[in-house]
Amino acid sequence: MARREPFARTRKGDFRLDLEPHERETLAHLAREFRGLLTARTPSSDPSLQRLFPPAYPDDPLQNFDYERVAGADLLSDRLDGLDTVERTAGAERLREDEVLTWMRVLNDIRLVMGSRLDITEETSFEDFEDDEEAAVAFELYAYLTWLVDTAVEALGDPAP
Amino acid sequence: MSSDTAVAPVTRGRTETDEVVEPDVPWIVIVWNDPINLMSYVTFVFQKLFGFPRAKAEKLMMDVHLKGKAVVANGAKDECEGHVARLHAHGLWATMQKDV
Repeated sequence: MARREPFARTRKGDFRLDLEPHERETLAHLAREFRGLLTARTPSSDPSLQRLFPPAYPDDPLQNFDYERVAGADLLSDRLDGLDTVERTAGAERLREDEVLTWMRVLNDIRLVMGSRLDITEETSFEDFEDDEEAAVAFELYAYLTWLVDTAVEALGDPAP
Repeated sequence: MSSDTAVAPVTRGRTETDEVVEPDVPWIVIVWNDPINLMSYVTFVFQKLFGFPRAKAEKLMMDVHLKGKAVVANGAKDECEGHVARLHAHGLWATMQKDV
């Protein structure tokens, strides 16, 4: 069986985005949901966002307050820009390298939120959700995103610094 | 960890008197292990953000994975804050502290 390559570098240096229509719809939908979460909630009102905005100075609330004041808005707008890119290009056949980098980062962000909600550990497997259908579906989506991020990393190869 | 120096600790950045200002202690950036970020992704981010060759990035990633954390950068406070922010933008769990 041929191995699927959702992101494949072409000879021209850009990337072919090889996804089924239902996958594109799912990813665009996830991006919109994630945007809603980022704009409506804060890390203090939703613990699953804490993983995206961790403290730089965990033992020093004052310095951390400064860090969040300086870096927090940029981190949020950077993430919203990334979501724009994924929503805009969800139907594209080709992606530029910077767009693949953005896809990778956005999909990983969504994994971080989903993984926090599912309380993922390094040993988590499908069997852990046998008795919880909703969580099982979420874990399946999480595993799909894991696969996408891994294939994006592989397609990008060694990065230019 | 073992140390082959059994001598008294060296007093760093201090003189005999207390009148000097606080020395310019360097800061370190630490990346912590987490169960969600992929090993391949973490290696990629280290290469991309710090320009490390793959072997060095993989070594640091394995330190994070097996030892729970790794120091990935050091320098002045502002510089380290920039590194931490870029690591946070990539979803890595990074913190910084004085290298004491």
